[in-house]
Amino acid sequence: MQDKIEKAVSEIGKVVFGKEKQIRLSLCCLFAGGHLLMEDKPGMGKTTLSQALAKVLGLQYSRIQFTSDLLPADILGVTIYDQNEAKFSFHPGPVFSNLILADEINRTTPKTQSALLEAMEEKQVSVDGDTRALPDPFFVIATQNPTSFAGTYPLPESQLDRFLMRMKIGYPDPSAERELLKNSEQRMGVEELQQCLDADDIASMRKRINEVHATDSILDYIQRLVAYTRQDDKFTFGLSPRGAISLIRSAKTWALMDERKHVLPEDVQMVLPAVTDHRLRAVTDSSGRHAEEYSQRLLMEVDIVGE
Amino acid sequence: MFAALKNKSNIDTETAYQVPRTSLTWMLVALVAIIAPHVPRMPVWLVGVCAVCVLARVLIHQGRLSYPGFLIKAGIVIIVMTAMVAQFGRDVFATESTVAILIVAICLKLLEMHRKRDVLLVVYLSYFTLIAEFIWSQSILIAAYMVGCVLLVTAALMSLNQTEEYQNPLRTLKLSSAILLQSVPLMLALFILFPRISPLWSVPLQSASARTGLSDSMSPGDIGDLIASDELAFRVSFEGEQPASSELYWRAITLDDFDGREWEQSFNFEPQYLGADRRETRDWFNNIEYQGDILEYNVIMEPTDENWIYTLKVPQIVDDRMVMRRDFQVDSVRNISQRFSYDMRSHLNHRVDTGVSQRLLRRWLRLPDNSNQESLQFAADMREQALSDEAYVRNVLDYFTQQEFFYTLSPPLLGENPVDEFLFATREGFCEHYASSFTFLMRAAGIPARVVTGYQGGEYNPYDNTLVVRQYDAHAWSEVWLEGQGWIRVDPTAAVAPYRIEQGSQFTFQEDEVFLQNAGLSLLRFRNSLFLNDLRYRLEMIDYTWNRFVLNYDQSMQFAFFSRFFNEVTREKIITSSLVFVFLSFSIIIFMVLRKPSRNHLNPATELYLGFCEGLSRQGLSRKRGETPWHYYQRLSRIKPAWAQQIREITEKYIDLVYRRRESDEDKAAIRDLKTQIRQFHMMMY
Repeated sequence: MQDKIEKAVSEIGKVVFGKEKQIRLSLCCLFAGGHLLMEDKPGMGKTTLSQALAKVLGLQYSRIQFTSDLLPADILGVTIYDQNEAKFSFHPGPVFSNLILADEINRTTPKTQSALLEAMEEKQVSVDGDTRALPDPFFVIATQNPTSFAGTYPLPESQLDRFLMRMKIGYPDPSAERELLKNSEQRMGVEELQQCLDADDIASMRKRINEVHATDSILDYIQRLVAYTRQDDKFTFGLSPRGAISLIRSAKTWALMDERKHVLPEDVQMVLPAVTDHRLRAVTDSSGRHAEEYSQRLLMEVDIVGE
Repeated sequence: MFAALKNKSNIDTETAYQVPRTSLTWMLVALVAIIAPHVPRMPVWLVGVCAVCVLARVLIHQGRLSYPGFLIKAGIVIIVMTAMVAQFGRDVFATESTVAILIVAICLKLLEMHRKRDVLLVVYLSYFTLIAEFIWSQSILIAAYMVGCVLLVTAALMSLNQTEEYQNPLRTLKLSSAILLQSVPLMLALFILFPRISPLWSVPLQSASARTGLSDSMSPGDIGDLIASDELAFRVSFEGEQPASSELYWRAITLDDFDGREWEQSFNFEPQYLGADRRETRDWFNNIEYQGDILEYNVIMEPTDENWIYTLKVPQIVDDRMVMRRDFQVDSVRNISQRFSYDMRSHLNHRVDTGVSQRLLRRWLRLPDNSNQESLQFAADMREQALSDEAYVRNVLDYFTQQEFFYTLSPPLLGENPVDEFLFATREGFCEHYASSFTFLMRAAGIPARVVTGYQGGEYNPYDNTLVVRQYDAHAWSEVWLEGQGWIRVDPTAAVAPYRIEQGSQFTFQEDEVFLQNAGLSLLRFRNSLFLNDLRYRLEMIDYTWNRFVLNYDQSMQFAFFSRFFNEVTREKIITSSLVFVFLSFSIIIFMVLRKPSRNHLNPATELYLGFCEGLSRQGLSRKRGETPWHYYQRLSRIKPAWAQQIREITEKYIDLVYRRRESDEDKAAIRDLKTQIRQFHMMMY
């Protein structure tokens, strides 16, 4: 299993240079059964990364480009009268796939956003009074531009909370960028990547997450982290219980990806920024743009060993 | 009335400081508890005012009532104060009324608790008022009750400073009891060590006249009234063997002046304590012939607001707080307004005043003119028949025994010549009737005689070897002077009712309905139940111990305590040692507060690891808060490669213990291992 994961990481690395940590985090998010929100400026490789993930995981994949005139029916599907059969039949929309790439989710209207987000939460959709289950596994990788950019509808906190992780890809480091510039012409397409994992692997990973053990010391640490966000008056609001559960589940998955059956404080620290950034808001920062600072603050200020 | 209050209000309830609910609850509960024991001493209308104030405060808190305006408050104060003056009159500055004013002031303050400052004032006043109860009673039960009140007031004070999250009032109460418990050692130390200084002033108690007990005069029926009361008169603990009950005649007052109906102390007798006759020297005091053993005992007497002290004849004073009068009555220099403890020595076998002058003896022969003529005649006849004074005494006692005399608690009322009526008509009487008429008959025959009142017998408590003497043990008897024998005690009651002397009054009168009729539901009523009687003995023992060692702890006891440690006890030494003690205890408290918080809630491995980090931080290599043990090791291994190996082992062991393993019994061995390794590392480091 470890080999497969390593192979998947290196395979994706062929199209996304110098972003191994982000690749691992997004895999971690998918194994943990959570949805992933990628937020960065245009042209940073968000779409490439999500396409590569879909390819490497070998999942049935559909991509929805969100625009301001997209309607819920465009995602969920429509019921059309079939003249040949003389009855109404349902044409499923792109949401009926294992992996959905919701590109630029903040470009569309709140109505359409919430149609997708409801599907994410309930793993089923209701169209014309019929409830239809979505396939399993069901992942959403949403990308969005920073909310200050023109023509965006920022996701409200309640909907942000439904993503297990929010990730920034960030500028590549100079050596990776150099390589990117050198090989811009012969760059490998996403289609050429090999499939390394399949749906069964994902299912078995998911099952094994529950076998990973977190000792009292780890739980103490997580509780101290959570308590810190709730007590420190720099934060408008603290981490919710769902945030705390997300943190421990992500840490366990990270430990599992490292072939361990127990969680180390490093695991928690590794996933913490991605899990908590979008759930916290500082008093001084109403737009939430300087999110990285909050998690850094948590990592610095909260004692691991405990006092 | 409340509607009017609401409209006139000039304070906006919305903006006023809201007393925390827990605090208000405890404050009102505490206040009611503090006021409760005072209620019997307060006028009924005042209790009503207090109740209305408390109720109004609850309504104000609920928002159903506004704070009263200035005019209303001023009106209430003026009305209450006027009513107080009307009620107490000239006694408005006596203790009872001042305490009542204090109580009503606190209750009125409840109505204007706008700010935290006001609430604090009420809390502090509550502490103060609480102490006032001790003016009236210092019993162990009241003390325990007051500790409970302190608990409640402290809870109110604490919850005043607690945040909204402390919503559970019981939790606050628990916390306040913990604080009180913590203060117990300091309290005990201060109790023992604090210098005892006599009070700078004292306030007279209004209720003084209402005390039950002997009075300085005796007329028929006086002592019979005392029989109805089970109140404690005094307690005695003897050194060594306790004398027989028939020997226990506790003298209090000698009465020598008879007006035909009432016996009194002759006034001109009083100022000269030691010599009644100016020509007589102090020799009478030295001429007492002592025989047999001396009896030593300690008495704790209940306050009487009089001067006399209970002794067995003939006393020998060992205390400079008291003086002996010519008739062997012992007086305290001060009024006994508080419980009073004294040591006393007595010689039960003695001969006194054998050589006293005839001039002095005439004092005890005086009888009023034109009263009890029949008895005078009777005495003259009897004396003629008798050969000597002694024979006459015996004849009179025989007369009481042989004729149909009855010893009863409810004798018929007597008129102008009570001795005549008693001797020849009713023949039913209580000890004072017998003592009075016997003494009269003696004087009528020319034998010096006097009436003595006091207590006879008492009840022996087997648990603490004390003798308990109650008001119903009150008694009156006679003393006569016989040539060659001096003053001897004659108890005519013993002739009529010998069982009264041998078994005590509770056995004599237990069937009588007058007996204990004022005692309420007293355990004394159930003396026939073995269990309850035993219980009563034990309770009395506790009470006696409390009185003797707590309430009675004074300078002399303090000196006795300190004499165990110093050869010579001085006040300076006591003050110095208490200062040293206070300094030490505060140092301990400060040390405990400033010490690093304890880590005992951590698991032992983490505790060891933190010790390891502390050792490193003394080398300037402290762990950052958010640094994981493994990252810490990595950083250290770069800075101090020489130590890397050991640090790595310790870190790995720690990680293994704390993050890898589920808790198990094997941990103990591993923890011990970690401990030795860290110790070795620390030794290597230095």
